[in-house]
Amino acid sequence: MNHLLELQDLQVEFRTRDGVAHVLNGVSCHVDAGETLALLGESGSGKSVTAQAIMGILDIPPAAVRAGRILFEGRDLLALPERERRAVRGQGIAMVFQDALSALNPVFTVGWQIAEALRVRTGLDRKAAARRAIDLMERVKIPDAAARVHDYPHQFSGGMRQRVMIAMALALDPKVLIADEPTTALDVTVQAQIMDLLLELKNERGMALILITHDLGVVAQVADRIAVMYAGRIVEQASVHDLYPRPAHPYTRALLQSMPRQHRTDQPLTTIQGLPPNLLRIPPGCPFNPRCPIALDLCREVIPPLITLEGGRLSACHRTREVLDGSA
Amino acid sequence: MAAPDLDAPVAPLLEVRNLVKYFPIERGALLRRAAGQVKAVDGVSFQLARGETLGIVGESGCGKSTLARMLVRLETPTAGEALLDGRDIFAMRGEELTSLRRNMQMVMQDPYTSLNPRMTVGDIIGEPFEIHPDVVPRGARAARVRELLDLVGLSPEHIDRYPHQFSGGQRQRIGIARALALDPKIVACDEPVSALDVSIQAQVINLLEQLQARLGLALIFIAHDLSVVRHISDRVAVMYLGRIAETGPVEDIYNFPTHPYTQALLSAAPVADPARRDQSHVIRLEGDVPSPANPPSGCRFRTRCWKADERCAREEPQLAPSRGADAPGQLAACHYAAVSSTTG
Repeated sequence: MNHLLELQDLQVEFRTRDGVAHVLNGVSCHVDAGETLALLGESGSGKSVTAQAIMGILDIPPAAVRAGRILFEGRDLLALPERERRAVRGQGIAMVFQDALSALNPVFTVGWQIAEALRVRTGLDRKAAARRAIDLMERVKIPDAAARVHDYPHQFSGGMRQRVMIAMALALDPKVLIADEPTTALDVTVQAQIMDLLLELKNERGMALILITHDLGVVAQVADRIAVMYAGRIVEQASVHDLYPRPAHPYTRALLQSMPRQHRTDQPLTTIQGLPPNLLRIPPGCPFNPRCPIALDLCREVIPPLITLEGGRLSACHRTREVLDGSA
Repeated sequence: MAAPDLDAPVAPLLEVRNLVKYFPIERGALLRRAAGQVKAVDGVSFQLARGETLGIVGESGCGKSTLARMLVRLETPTAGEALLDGRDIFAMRGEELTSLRRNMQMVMQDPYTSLNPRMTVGDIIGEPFEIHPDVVPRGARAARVRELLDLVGLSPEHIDRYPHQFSGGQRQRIGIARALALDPKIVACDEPVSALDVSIQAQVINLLEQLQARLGLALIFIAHDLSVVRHISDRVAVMYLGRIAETGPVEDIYNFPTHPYTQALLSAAPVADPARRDQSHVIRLEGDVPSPANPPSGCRFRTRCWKADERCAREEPQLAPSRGADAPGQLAACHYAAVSSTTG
């Protein structure tokens, strides 16, 4: 059976003054209707570039897709002419960006911006599009939508601006919604409201939700499956219920251990030594090997493949079975 | 991180009394006239003991950064005092002020903008010695900078490098070394790890804890990340719209919060455990934080509070013991403060 959206061996590089940065090095994953997939990683892991590649909004050049396929409803988006690709954007796959203040245009009202896609893409007239914008604002729970439709982005709080972004993304009723760090710029109490709203909309419309984040807490609360990225690869993929209690990759395990405990201890936090690799010079073998506490000589020479373990979970580590059963 | 001895009546290192900071709002390009005030900090009092860590948590606009900036005298308060070893820091002038600046240092949030890109690391960390030449004799400064680099876990050989040659975590170490250069008594850290990745955060938090134990520093640790604050703090103050909503020893506050805002804030923080997804009794606050230019009458939290009634609109609650003899150090500013049955 075809997945709604499937990435196969996606490879993206950026040509920079200092050389070629290998940003995505063979990313494969999929998401189905009604499902929430979290792409988790630190800065430079490639999670946002993955989203941009799916949306077709990479800056080419300096970026270049070297290999791979992005299958949406069975069609390879990378092989589509730009005109057809544009039809998928918004209607098929839509995106909510991290920083709503810079993603919105300051000189147009939010109503105009929400309605823009409707006017251009569905041919609704101005009045009908404006009415639909108010419906959408009500749906994302912006109080007093009929009046606020005429306000400008700066007149909204951070949480309300993120709701406007979500309303824009929903305008064309997409099948896949990508949310790139949608709550990172928001306060804790507002973050909870926005995550609730995203999940509610996903369930109501049967959308697939791809949540891009670095926050292990948010992922644990909302995702079905999680793909952990490191240096442009997925190093582990599993259901959240399998992954948190028993990580199969030393990087995932170290990330979970480096979070402060629920209860206060006087023990120092567990840290991951060193830094993520420079994408211009990724070390040979496993990209995590210089920071890995259990690396072998093999890990410095051979890139571990992503192998399937019990329950369908995936891990790319030469010692994954030992990590999983706790013996390494 | 020795807990302060409650039995010994020791004078606190720092005592802040009723600190207030209003920023004027001006209208008009030509004839500027005052059109109101942003009440960023509006009557904050607390004490800090030697070697202690006070965590300050709250959402954006609650005044936590303004508070820190006043304590290092980057901002002048509208009213109130802060006594360091019994002397009001806001009354200090001249030499006394210079020596105050030695004793209170700050680590900034953003390691990318708080270091001058055109200065070497050695010049950045050594710059405090230009202003306080008596701390280290000129000839010994380079050696002291190397010592400081080593202290924060950077290689002393990197003294001639520029900030852009370092990663975010390393830059924050440079900021910490600069704050420690003058051997201060108090370091205020304003969101020191929020710009860093999770794996790097832990390194910087461990470093701060080590340094504190080794140097006997008192820390004021400002953050919005509740689990980080819990890890590092001895006591916590929860701020809302310019005032302290609740304060006390860290485990009392986290296990038995009594102010509705503290309860909501703690319950909204996502727990990194999918098994606790459905069991957590999450309190969902409605709406956003009101504008500090026009805070609600009475209790500032009442517009989002499920316990609020007309008394809360009328009378502003003051900090008072909220759990009696169970936790004498725990204070909450709420007419209806109580441990909730769903939290803790």
